[in-house]
Amino acid sequence: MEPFENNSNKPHAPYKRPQLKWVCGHAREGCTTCPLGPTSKGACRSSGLCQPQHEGDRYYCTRSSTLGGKCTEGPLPDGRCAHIVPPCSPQLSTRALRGRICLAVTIATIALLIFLFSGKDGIQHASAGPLSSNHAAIAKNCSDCHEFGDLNHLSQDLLQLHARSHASSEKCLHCHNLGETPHNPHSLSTEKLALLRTQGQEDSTAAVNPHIALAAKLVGEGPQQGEETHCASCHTEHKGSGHDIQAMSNAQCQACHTNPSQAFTTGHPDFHQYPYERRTRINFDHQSHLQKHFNNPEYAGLGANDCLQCHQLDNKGALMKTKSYDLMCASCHTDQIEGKGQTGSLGYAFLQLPGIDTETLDQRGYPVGQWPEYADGGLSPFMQAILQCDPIGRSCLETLASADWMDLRQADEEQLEAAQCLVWLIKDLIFMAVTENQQFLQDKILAEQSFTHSRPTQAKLSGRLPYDVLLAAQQAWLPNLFTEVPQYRNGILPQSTSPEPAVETPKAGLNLTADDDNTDNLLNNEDNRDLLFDSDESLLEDSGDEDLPGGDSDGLLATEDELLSGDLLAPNDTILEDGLLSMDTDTSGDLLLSGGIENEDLLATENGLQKATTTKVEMKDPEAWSKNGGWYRSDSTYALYYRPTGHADTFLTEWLTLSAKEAHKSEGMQILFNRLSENQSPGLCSKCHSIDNQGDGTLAMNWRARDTEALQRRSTLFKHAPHFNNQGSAGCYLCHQFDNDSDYAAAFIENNDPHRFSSNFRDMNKALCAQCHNPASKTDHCLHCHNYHVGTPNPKLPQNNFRSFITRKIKE
Amino acid sequence: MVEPMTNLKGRRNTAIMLTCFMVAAMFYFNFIGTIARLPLELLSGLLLFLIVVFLAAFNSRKKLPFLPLLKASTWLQLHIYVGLIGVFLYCIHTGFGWPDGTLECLLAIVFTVVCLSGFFGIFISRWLPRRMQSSGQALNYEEIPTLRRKLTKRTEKLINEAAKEANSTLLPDFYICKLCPYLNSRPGLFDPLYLRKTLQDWRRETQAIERYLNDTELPYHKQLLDCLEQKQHLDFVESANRLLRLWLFIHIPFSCSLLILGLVHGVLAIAFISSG
Repeated sequence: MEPFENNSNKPHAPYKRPQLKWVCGHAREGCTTCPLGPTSKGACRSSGLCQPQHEGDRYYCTRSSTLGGKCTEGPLPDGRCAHIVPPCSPQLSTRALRGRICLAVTIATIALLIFLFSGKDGIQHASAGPLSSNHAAIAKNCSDCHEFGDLNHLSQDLLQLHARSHASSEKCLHCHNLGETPHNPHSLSTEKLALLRTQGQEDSTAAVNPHIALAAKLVGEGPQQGEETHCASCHTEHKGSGHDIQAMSNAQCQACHTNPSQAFTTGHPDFHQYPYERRTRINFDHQSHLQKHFNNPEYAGLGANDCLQCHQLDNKGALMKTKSYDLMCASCHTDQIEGKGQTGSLGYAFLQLPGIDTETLDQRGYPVGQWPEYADGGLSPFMQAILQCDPIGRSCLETLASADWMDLRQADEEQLEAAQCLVWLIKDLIFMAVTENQQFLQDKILAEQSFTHSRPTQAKLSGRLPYDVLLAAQQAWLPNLFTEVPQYRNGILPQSTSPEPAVETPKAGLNLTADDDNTDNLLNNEDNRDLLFDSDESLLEDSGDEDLPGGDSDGLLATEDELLSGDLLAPNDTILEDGLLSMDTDTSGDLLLSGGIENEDLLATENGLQKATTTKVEMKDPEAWSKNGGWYRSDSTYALYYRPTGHADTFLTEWLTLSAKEAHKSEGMQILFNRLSENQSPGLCSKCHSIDNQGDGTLAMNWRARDTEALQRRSTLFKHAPHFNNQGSAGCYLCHQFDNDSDYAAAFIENNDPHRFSSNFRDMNKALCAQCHNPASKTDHCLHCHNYHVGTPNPKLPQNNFRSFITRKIKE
Repeated sequence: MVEPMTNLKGRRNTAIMLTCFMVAAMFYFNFIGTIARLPLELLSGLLLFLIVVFLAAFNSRKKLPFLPLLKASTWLQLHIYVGLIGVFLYCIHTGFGWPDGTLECLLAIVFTVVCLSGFFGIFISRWLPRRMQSSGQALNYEEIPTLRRKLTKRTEKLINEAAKEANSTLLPDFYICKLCPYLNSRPGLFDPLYLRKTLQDWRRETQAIERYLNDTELPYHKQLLDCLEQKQHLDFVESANRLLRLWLFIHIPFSCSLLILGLVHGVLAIAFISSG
C-alpha cells in the first residue's frame, strides 16, 4: 500500500489546537480550511489564505509554507487575498461537544431528582426499597419508624448516630414489647447478663476463632457493660416484602459470642445441664413409675407404656406438653387425694374455738363470758393467720406463747389479761363474721395486702362458706354471743364465765328415743326456744327469749301449725331467716345435715312434741358425710372444717398460692402455708406440686407442669416435631436416657430451690446433636437452635401508630 | 522516552498485586467489621464516594496540565486500579445485590454504566492502538477527512486516465456503481470491532471484473486495489480513533451524574440511617 502524504511530519505543519471550542466546517469535509478558523463563539471568519502585506505601493502574498507558500497570482489590487476560502458552518470540537453533553446529563440528573422528590410522596423515592409485609401494613410515613436528624447539621449527625439509633429503636418498641430492658443484648436484665458473662468466662474452653479474636482486638469484645444494642443492628428493612427480617448470620451472633467458631461441631461449647435446667414442676419420678409402679400387677393397665400417652407436642411442634391430670394421674391418685387410707382429719379447721382455762380466768378476775367448757383444741392455722394480722391479736399470741392455755393457774397477770383479750377477740371475730358478710374472715387475713383480689378469687378464697353453717356453729357454741359482744364493746363484762352451752359431743350415731336425754336437751335448753311451741307452756320454762337475736318471742316462736306443717328439720331456710335455729343446734351438726332422718320419729303430733317410738338412726360422722368435700362442723373440736373437693380444689389452691406468696411477709401466712403444704395434709397438694423459691423471698406453688407456650422464647430452641419425623416416638429414649444413679425424689424434700435437683434423665451432650447438625447437613447455624430475643414478652398493641393506621384505613 | 518492556510489566504486575491485596484486605475488613458490628455500610459508602470523587478528578487534572500533580499517565494508572477497587467496594456496599429503592436503583444503573464504559475504555485503549499500529501507517485523526478527499480525487483521476487510454467504460462504470459511494462514505462506529466489508471482499469483487479488462486497463486495476487498501486503512483508523474518543461521551457525563446521585444518596443515608 502506498503511504499517505502525512502533513503532520512536515516541518511547518499547522498546529492542531484541540482545546479550541470550534473547528472549521470545511475540515470535516476534507477541504481547505481557513487559517483563522471560527471565532470563539462559533462564527465563521471566512477569509483568504493570507493577509497580504502592504509595502510601498504594492501588496505582497504572505501565504505560509504549510498552505503552499506564496501564490503565483498574488494579492488583488485592492489588497485582498486572491484565494478566498468560502464560508462554512463551524463545528464543535470533540472536547467541547463532550463538555456540552456532560452539562446536559448533569442538568438532566438534577431535573430528575427534583421531579422525583417534588411530588407529595416524593420522599418515598428516597426509600431504600419496599418494607417487609408486616411493616408495610402499618408504616406509611418515614417518620413512623425513623428518627430524623437535622439535615442542616450533617457533620453533627454523623457523630450522633448512636443517639439516633436509640431513638429509632424506641419507635420499634412502640409495637414490640421486649420487656424492661429492651436495649440489653437478648433483652436480658443487666444482672442476668453479668452472670452470663461471668459464666461465659469460666466456660470459655472452646477454641477461639482467630478472626473473631482479631475483631475483638479491634473494637473490644462485643457490647460492654451498659452498652446498648439496637433493633437495626440485626434487623434490616427495605429489602422487599419477601425479605426475612428476622434472618441473622452466624457472624452477627459472633459479634458478641467470640468463642464459638463458625462450626457447631468444633467451636460450640459443650452443653451444660441441657435440657434439664431445673427440677420438674410436678414431682413425678419417671424412673419409679415406669420401672416400679407400672410393672406392679395391682396397677395393671393403668400405667403408661409409651411416652406419648402422657406427653404431646405443643401447637408449634416445638416442646412436649404434659397431658392433664385426669388423663394421666386420676386413675391411680384420686383416692389418695380424697383421703383414702389417710389418718387424721380429712379437712382443714377454718374457724376454731381454742381450749382456754376459763375457770382460772374467772377466779382471777378476768371473766370471758360464755365459752365452751369442753373446748380443748388449739388455734387453727386460719385463725392464727387472722389473729396475727390484728396487732392486738398478735400481741396476745406473743404473750401467751409460753403459757399453757388449758391451765392458766401458773400464768401471770399479763398472760391472763392476754388470754381474756384473746377470747374476746375471737368472740368479736365470730360476731362480726356472722353479722358482716361471707368474706369477712378472709378479709381480716388479707387486710395487710396492698392489692385487692378479683371477685372470682374472693369467691374461691371464701370457699363459699354457707351462712347456715356459720350461724349454726355460733348458736351451738356461743349462743349468748349477740348479748355478750355488744355489752363487752360497751365496757360491760359478765360477772362470771359461763361454761354453757352444754353441747353434745359428736357421736358416730345418734340414738333418739323417748328416754334419751337428747330429748330433754332439745326441749329444755334455754337457747333452743325455736323448737318450742307457744301452746306448750312446759316447754317454755326458763324462757330466755330476750337473749335471742330476734329479741321478740312473738317473732321467734311459731305457731304449732306453722311448725308442724312442715319438716322441723328440713326447712332451715325459713326458720333460720329469722335467726332461729333448727333442731341441729341442740344435737349436733349431724342433724342439720342429715335431712334423711325420718321426722315422724322425732316430731310430735299437733298437740305437741311427742316421744317417738324407739328408732335407732345411724348418724354419719360429718366428715365422712362430706364425701364430696365442703364445709362441716365438729362440736367435739369446736371447729368449722373445710374438706377438699378433690383434685384442684379451688379453695385450697387459692389459699396455697396466696400464702406461698405472702409467707415471707407475715407470720400468720407462714403458719398457714406450712400447714397447707404439709406433705400429708388433706388434699396432698404438696406431694406432687413442688414449691419454688422465686428468689425474692416469695414462694410459688407449681400447679401445672411446664407451660410450653410461655417458654417459646428461650435462648435454646428445640423442635421435637422434626425429630419425631426421623425417629418416631421410640426415639425419645435416644436422647432421654434414664439415669439410674440419680436421686430424683431428694430434690423435693425440704427444698424450694428448683435448680438444686437431680434429673431422672442424663444430660444430653453436644456429640449427640452433632451427629446430624454438622456442616454437611447445613443445619448448624446459630439460629437453627437459638432464639435471639429471650423471655416471654407480652404482645403490645401499637398506640399512636395503630390509631393513625385505623384512621387512615377508615379514610381509605 | 519509552520504558523497557520488562519494567512496564513489572510495574503492571506490582499494581495488579497491590490492587488484589487491597481488594482482599477490603473483603477481610468487611468480614471482621461485621463481627465487630462496625457501621460498614456507612464506612463503605463514604469511602466509595471519596473514590468516585478521586476518579472524577482525573478529568479535571487533564484540563489543568500546568499543575505539577503527577504525570497524566500515572493518573491514568491510578484511575484504573482505584476504579477496580471501587467496583469491589461497591459490591461490598450493596451486599452483592441489586437495590430496591428508586434512587438507589438509579444510582446503581449509573454506577454500572460508568463501570462498564470504563471497562470498555480500558479494553479499547489497550487493544485498538496496538491494532492500528500493526495495520499500517499512523495517521492524524484530524487529517483523515482531507486524506479521504485526496484518495477519492486520486481514484477518480485513475479511472479517467484508464477510460481515456483503454477507451473502455468498464472501470468507470464499476467506479460509479460500487467504488464511488464507498470511497466517499464514513466508516461505522464499531467497524474496528466488526467490519462490515473487509478488504478481502473488495478484492474478490474487484478481481471479478479483472477478466473483462484489457491489457491497458490491468495496471490501473492494480492501482485501484491499492486505493481500496488505503481506504480500508483510513476507515479503520478513523473509526478506531472515533471509538477511542466516543466511549468517553458515556463515561464522563455519567460520572457527573454519579457524583450528584452519590451525594444525594449519602445525605439521605445519613439522614435516615438508624443502624449503630
